[in-house]
Amino acid sequence: MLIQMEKVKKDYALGKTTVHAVRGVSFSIEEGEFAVIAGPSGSGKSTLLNLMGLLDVPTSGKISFEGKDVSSISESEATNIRKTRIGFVFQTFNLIPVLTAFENIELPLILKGKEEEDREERTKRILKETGISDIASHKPDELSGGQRQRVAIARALVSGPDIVFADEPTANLDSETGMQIIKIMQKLNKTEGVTFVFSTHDPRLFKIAGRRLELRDGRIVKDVVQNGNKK
Amino acid sequence: MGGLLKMLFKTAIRNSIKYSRRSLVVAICIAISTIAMQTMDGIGEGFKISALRFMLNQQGMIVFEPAKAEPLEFAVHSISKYEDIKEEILKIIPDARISGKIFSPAIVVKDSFSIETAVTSEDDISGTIIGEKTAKMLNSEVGDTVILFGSNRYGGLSVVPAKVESTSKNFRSIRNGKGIMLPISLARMLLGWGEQEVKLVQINFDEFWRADEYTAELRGVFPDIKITSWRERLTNIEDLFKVTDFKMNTFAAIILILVAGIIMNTVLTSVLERKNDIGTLRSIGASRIYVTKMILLEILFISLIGALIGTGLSYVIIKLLSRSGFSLGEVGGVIDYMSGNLYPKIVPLKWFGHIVFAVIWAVLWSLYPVLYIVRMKPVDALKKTL
Repeated sequence: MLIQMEKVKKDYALGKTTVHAVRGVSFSIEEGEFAVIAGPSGSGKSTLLNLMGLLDVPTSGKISFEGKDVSSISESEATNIRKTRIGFVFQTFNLIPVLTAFENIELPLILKGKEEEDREERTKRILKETGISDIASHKPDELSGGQRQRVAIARALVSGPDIVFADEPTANLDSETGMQIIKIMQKLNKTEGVTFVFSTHDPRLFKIAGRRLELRDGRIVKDVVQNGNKK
Repeated sequence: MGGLLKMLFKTAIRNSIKYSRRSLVVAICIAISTIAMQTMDGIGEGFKISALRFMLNQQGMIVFEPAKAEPLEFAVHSISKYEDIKEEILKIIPDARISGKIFSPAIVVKDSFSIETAVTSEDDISGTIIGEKTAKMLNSEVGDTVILFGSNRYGGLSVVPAKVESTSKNFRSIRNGKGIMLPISLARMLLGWGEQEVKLVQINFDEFWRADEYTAELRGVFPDIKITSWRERLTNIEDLFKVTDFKMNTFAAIILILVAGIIMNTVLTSVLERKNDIGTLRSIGASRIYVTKMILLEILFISLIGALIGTGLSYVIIKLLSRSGFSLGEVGGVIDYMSGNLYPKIVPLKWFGHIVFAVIWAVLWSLYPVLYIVRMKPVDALKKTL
């Protein structure tokens, strides 16, 4: 079991009111899963991904990463886990604007302290796998949305994480490009065995996933294993 | 490690170019701070040298006095063989400007008027000069002869007539128009001294900072004479310079404080503008220290450029000002110590210190915005709003 969520709650203060973004969810993510978190806007998808990705801390409940309780670990410990075990893909791509595609992808390897030769080899390989070798020297503002998201996926995967969280990765792409991005993720899930958890409200993508968790008002209302996958 | 450092530098430099407007504001602020510090220092240094030269020329860089100097026996103790002493001094200090002086009290009389007065004499005075106030009190004019009564070496009364050649409102030791200045032969006559006797020998030369070195050498040659350098006599001159430094530093400090506010505000705006990038970096595993280093390195780079530009401009300003010099005479308090023009001076080591200080100042005032952003949870930094 890679990630275990037990009665996890997350509340936000919005002015004088409290928003209950996640209301006591419990589920687990196994290694190699290709899971989608579905639900309408405001259902708590992003909050759930942020909690699983250790970008945020829960108000209550327990989050375990490979059996270790990470609900209340220090910021530096969380940073270390994010650096070594987790990859992120954002809806708005979130590439560093002053770095080229190559440098953006190489950055997690630099943060991990990898040697230059190793970095170069890995970056070139992932560029090839995501089909963006030809745009390696381009800066983000010279790339299309699809290309940017491919760079973001490559950045998330380059350091060989155990799990990649993708928050609505196709939301800012046209449907065809969006589907291509999902296909790349699916391929990497199958070939590299990387666990993917992504959020979306695009019904076309629900079918592709091996598991579908449906979220409504901060609660899991459906947890379906599909396409012959085992939970 | 090399890759990390290279990436930090790369990101810092590219960010400073990408956000050029904010970089420019910080660079200008630092350039202004550097100019303020360096020009104030240049003027201060110029003032110190001008004031020091002026004061030393008045009081002597090295002074010879009789080894014994009892206040009530002013006529008893003197320095003899003045001409021989001058020769010896010139062997050690070839550019020395040597002046023999005599001071004594006396009573000066004209007709039925008499006053107690201070008599001064230097070996370059050719005629009697009387202070304006003294002249007024004696009802004396140029061309009159006044009579001076004094006490000679042997305790007897000496009487010396002196023809007034001119009057002076403020001529060297005739302060506030009082006193009388005699040719040295008359002063010697008043004290009953021989031809080569003086009360004091004052030496001035160009390289005033070598006074201690010369003093030591002269003491070896004249063991029976009390010889002191200006450093030994003018111990409170440092206080005067401290006041000058304080005035100059206060002006620079006001500018530095104003600049600090602008830098802090600009850096805060800049990091908030890049909040999302910082959140992204944090989410992919960049530590708080990494982000802190990245932003501070950027500030360091920008401020270093600003400080170097400021130094270049300060150099031009100081060179222009020192070409013809400028008078600070009308600036409050300064005129007491000054005569003529002030020539600002560059002290390279201090200027280097100003560059380092300006950069540290910028980094210091950027710390709050940087700490504010790195302390933010990654999820909050990734939010589109504050």
